[in-house]
Amino acid sequence: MPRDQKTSQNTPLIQALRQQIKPHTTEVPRQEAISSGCPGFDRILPGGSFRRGQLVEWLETGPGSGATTLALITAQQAAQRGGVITIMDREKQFFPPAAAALGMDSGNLLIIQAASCQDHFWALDQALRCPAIAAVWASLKHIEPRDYRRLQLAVEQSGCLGLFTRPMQVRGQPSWSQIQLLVEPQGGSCNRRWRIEVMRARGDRAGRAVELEMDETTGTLREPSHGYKTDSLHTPAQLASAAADGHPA
Amino acid sequence: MVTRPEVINHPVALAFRDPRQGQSVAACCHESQQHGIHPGMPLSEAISLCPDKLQVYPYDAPGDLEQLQHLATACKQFSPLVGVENIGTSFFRTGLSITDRQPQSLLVNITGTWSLFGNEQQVIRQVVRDFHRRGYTIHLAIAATTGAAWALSHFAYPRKPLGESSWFASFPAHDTDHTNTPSLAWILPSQHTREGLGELSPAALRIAEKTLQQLHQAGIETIATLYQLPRLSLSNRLGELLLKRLDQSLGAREECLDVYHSPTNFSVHQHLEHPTDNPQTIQWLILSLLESLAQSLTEHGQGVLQLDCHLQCVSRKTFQTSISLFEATIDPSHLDALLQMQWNHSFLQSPVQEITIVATCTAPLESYQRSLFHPLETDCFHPDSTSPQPQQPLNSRRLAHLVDLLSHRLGTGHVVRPRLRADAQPERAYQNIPWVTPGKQNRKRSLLHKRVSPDRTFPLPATRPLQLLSPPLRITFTVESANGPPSQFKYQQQHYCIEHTWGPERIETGWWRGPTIRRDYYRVQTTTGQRFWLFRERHHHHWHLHGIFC
Repeated sequence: MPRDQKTSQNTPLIQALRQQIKPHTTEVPRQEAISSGCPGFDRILPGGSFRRGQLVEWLETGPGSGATTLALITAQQAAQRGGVITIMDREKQFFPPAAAALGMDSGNLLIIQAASCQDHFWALDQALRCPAIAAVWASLKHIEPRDYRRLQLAVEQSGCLGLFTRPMQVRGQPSWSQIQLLVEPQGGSCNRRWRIEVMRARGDRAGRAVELEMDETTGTLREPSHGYKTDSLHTPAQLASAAADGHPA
Repeated sequence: MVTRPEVINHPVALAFRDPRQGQSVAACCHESQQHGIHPGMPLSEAISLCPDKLQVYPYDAPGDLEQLQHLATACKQFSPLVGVENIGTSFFRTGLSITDRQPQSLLVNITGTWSLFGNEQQVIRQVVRDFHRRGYTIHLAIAATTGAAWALSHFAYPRKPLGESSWFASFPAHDTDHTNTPSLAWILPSQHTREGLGELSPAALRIAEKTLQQLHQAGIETIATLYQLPRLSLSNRLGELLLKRLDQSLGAREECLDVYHSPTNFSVHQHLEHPTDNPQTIQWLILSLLESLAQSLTEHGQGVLQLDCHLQCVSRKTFQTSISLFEATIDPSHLDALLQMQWNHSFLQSPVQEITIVATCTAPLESYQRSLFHPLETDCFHPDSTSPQPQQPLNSRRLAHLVDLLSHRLGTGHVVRPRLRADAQPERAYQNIPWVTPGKQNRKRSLLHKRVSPDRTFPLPATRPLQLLSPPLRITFTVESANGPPSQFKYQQQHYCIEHTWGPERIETGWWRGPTIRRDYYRVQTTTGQRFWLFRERHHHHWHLHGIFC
């Protein structure tokens, strides 16, 4: 950078302008990092992880795509250091045994089954404002930008992690979320596999993608190995041949 | 019988569920005993002895104790020192029924107070009259020691006068119209305690059933026989408790009376000289009343779990609202916020002239030690903090506030946590429990402290969907398959081609569970990677979509 440009940044005019802008900007303190639990996934996230005080949108391509599963695995990671996971279950279709199978403590779940849309949004706002909540999951089909902004301010203040599953149709619409991820399930494999692409990342570039699969035994995420061996568990035949060769499998 | 006068003079039994023999008789009246019914008997046997007349009611142990405590409070008029008998780990009554495990006696220390009534006989008459007025007939004894009085009242009947040393009276209860059983009373002068007790059975010493059996086997049928036996031998062979009880009954050893203190009534009241219907004024008054209630609770180290607020209007109409909390609190602004959520001021059609707030259920307050390095006032999570959870007490309170707010606006049934059950049928594999249960301390201390550890007793992650459709949705399929699920199906106007299937997982229920469920479940993955949970009814081979791996 030329010297004259460098010095111009420190001119009184620039300083004065900065002071004028400052009250109108929201300076968010850097919050605690939350790993997704998979290094490959972390690599595509802005800053290398999720952070408390963020709203994360998971765009699903259709029913059964697995976006909610991924969101709840992230919620589980957020609750590792304590805190309650809130599930906004307006349709009363959430199935807790499946969440328990993912490793979530069912006693640590706060399930809110609001009867009306208005109550649903109010409860979501209240949950996101509470620092005792580690993560809030909700399925949001439509939300007004002003209401969304309110949720974003709430989550920034509390340090909670907001995880919203949203339909593919909201792609390209204005959003107050810090990260928007597109979840595309991948066929052709016996293991559950997804391609996750960062559609929007505040303060970072979008477009990075990763392919992940779920360990069907432990419920954790991993990068698929494209070799012949797709299962992490050794088959008895492999163990037998390794023993015959004289080295462990 | 006090509350159900219609059962007087009819055989009545109270039933409870015995873990070994099922429904059993917990207690029964004199009329029932004349038919051969006794406590501990199986209920079916009792009904067979008195097939048409026996009236059976469930035994309410907490209600029984509550009523006894209520009577203890009533007995404060005779002496300030009133206690409910303390039941130890050993049951010391004969006929071991469930009621023997509950306190049944009141102990009143009338030392120094009997002279206020004239003499001891006058005390007895007053007490009997008071209990008759309440609808009870009693066995009452005055003696020099707690043990002697207990022994007389429980074991002197039917041997009414104990020799010539005691005074005995019977008080018929006809005037109360409740029962024909008379109240019985004994007075045993202190100088005759030894000889008076000597005539009674060793069971009157409040000793364990096992010791009683040993005494019976040794041929010891009265307490007087025990006087003649060497103490050391008694202690070695039958335990220290026997000697302790004997000494306590004879006054050779101290016996403390656990005085019953009725719970403090936490209530505040405001009568308005100038009735008002101004919502702001009423709100301000409620808040100030809550502040004074909080002060009173703080002095006792208690917090509110349940609160009632009554507004009495000039028109004599009373409006009442009740709030239940997740954990005990004394925060007036939080209580006020919850009350305001319940009130709709439009209902006040006439000015309010009286406000009463009562803490109907309280619990000890949790106290948190403030941390030196992580003050509780801090509001945000600390980035990159290495300490485990510096703000847990504060977060615990915030969680309680959130749960209270949500439960009061949405209803307690809409703010729940799941309790998992080991049941294969998906609809019954869990039960939602409200976070707030009225009158109970709901908070789990370890809730915010606990590190999550996966429970592997549940199915594998991939085998159960996160979204369960209720009821299951019947699906139409476009291409059938000979074995297993269809290769194509239609859901929400969309066609899905199945690429992989896992199953069947057969789930059946027993006949005792109502309509039999026989389903073959399949997990299916479409060519686009989406997963669904389908089942086929084995009765009529209809296919249903039950879950979505969303």
